[in-house]
Amino acid sequence: MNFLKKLRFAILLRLRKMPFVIRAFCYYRENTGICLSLMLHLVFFIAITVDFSARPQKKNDVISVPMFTVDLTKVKIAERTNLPPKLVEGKSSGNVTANNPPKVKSLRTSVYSRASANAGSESSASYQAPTGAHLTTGMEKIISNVSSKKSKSTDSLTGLLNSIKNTGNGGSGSASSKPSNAPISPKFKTLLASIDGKADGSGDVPDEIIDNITELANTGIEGGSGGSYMQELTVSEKDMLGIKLRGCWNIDAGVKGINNMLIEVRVYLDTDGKVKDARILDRGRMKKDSAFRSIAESARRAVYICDKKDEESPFRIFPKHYPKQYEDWKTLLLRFNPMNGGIG
Amino acid sequence: MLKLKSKTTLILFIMLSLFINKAKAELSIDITGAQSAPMAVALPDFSSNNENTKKISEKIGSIIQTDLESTGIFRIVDKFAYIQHFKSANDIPTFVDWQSIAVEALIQGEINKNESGKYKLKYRLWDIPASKEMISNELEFDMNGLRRAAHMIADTIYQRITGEDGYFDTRIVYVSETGTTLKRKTRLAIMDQDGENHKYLTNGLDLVLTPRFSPNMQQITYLSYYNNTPRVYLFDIETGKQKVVGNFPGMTFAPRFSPDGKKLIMSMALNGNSEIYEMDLKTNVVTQLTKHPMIDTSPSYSPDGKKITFNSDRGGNQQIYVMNRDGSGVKRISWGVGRYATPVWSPRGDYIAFTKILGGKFYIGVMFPNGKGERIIAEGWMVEAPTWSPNGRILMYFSQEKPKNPSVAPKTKIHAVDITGYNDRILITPSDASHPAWSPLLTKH
Repeated sequence: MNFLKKLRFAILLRLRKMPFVIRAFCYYRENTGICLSLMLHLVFFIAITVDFSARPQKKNDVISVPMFTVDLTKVKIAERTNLPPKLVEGKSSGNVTANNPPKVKSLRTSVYSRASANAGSESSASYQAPTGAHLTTGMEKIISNVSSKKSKSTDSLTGLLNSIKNTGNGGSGSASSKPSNAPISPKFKTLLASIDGKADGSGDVPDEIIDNITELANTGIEGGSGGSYMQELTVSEKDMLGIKLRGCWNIDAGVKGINNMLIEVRVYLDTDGKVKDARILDRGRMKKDSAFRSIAESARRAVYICDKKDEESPFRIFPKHYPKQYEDWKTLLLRFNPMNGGIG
Repeated sequence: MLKLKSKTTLILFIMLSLFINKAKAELSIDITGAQSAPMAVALPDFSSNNENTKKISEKIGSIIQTDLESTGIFRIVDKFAYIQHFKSANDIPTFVDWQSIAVEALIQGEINKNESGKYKLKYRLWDIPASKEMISNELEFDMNGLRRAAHMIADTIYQRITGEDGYFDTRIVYVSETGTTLKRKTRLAIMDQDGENHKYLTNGLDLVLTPRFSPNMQQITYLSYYNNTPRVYLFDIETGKQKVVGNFPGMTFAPRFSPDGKKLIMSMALNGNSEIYEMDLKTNVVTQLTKHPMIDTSPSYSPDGKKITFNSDRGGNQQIYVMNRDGSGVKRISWGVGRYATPVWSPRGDYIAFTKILGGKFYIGVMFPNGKGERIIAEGWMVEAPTWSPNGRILMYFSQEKPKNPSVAPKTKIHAVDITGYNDRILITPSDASHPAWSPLLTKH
């Protein structure tokens, strides 16, 4: 009993230093309903924002993804496929020729199903939907994985397609430049058509397909965890942008407190990659700290000076390399740190 | 209840903002490091309505150009490159024209003469890359105030671009030296920071040293060997009168005003030991701040007046120390190799300038008030007595060349250098010059 008294006394002594705890407790006692409601709301918000399924990554969780090749000779081909009937429009029209390909709507389910639609128009309009659908599904899964890991880009997808094409081409995945004279079975032709868009499996990948792949890769392939490709701007591209902007940024190195300055400038670009506006974000410090304002204004000047360099402007990279992702680069956040990288 | 509502709203707002942030992840780029080259400034002639004002305009333009270029931060773009010519201060610049010649800032102005005979000058500063006006100002002056008006414009431009007060509308007091080594004549002299309006204050009969301005610019304190006794004196700039400070039993030296100008701090040597004393200029009450058997000297206040830095050899050799204003909490801050002397606290509070003696050479350097970040700014056979510009940006000191002939006095010159260590320049003076001291900004008084 004596011990409990001492404990209570000790707790009270400690609580004296934290009056807000006592106030909070009293408040809780007086407004229990409201407090409970608030807590429930809080729990609800936490529940919907926190991903409880995500476990901290352990060493064993890391899986190295090996390079994969598809040996088409070992692929079993079903007689019929379950490709969507929309893709074989040629069948209904019945008079589609190579010069008059059917108009196929861009579908995002699979690059390869699109290819097979083209193939259908060229090889056989009356052919009952080509085979290889299970392969397509497999590919979708792979692409979905690739996309979700955010580790592959357009090049890898194109490479993957080429590797498949090459494999199909010579039957062994090695002789794309040497067309094989060996007869190809109709079933295999169909498979190639479904992959490559050519009945004989010897042609190049049509530009349309490449465009489609690029588009898919750039916008985030459906089914993957998605996100913008612009978030994956390569390190070298980011470095290039940083270095070019650094070259345009001229500061007075003797300004007081320059070691503790980080200036954030939001840049608004038009579709040509020209600067529409550049705004310094920390307006509060701009008003209070004249030294900060000086450096912040020099950072804003740097944006405009770089922009005036026309083709040499760092911002031109966006319309040049990512014209279709304007939504991703129409605003940029530039973080200027004068001292970390040294002053030249 | 109201409080609870506002708290709930706050919590909801924070949570919503978390969602918004998550949804709008923006592409961000880090830029680390920068260039530090002089900023390209265009300074076209101020427009005017007659020939007379045109000459005034050219004169003012030339003073502003000299002031800005002397900083090393600005570079005036050659006038031949200008495409646009202004007829009035109300003309809006054609930004593309100025951008095409890589101008970063433009100073545009107009000057006219009033009916009262005074000149009215309107000027504007433009940020050319951002196509934005930075300041617009007007001032009135007569012919006598022409130079000051130009300095004030330069100060305003400097302040707006760098974010720090200017220092062009200031004066320098220094010790002018003439004659041979044995018959050296020293006089107090005063001039504008650009060397104009030079004037001698004392007659040169006695040796004078270490002049310092009072914060209100009315007085100068200095050390004089009048009657062969070194004592601290006060010189009134307006009346030209001087008086000895206090009736001390020993020799007094190294005086300096407190930031509020009400007190004077100095060293006094008595029986072979020197200590630091503070004297109230109103009541003449003297307080001893240090008490140590070793030498304590060269005191200097921090800009807030709460601390004092000084040098002492109490640790075995000459080093820099910091203490509270009442003399308590003495702490050594210099730990480098060599001897450290003449510490001076920067007016902006971020550095302490000092003289360092090492290996037979002298150095001028700066360190943070905690003793860290030591950086050498200048060096020479003998460089000494650093003094700060009122904005704490420029250090002035004097150099003495190595004597070649014992009978010929070595030349002494005043230098001004940016705290970055760049842009070291020599001030032109009528004779040899030493012990400079920079005045506060005149515009503020």
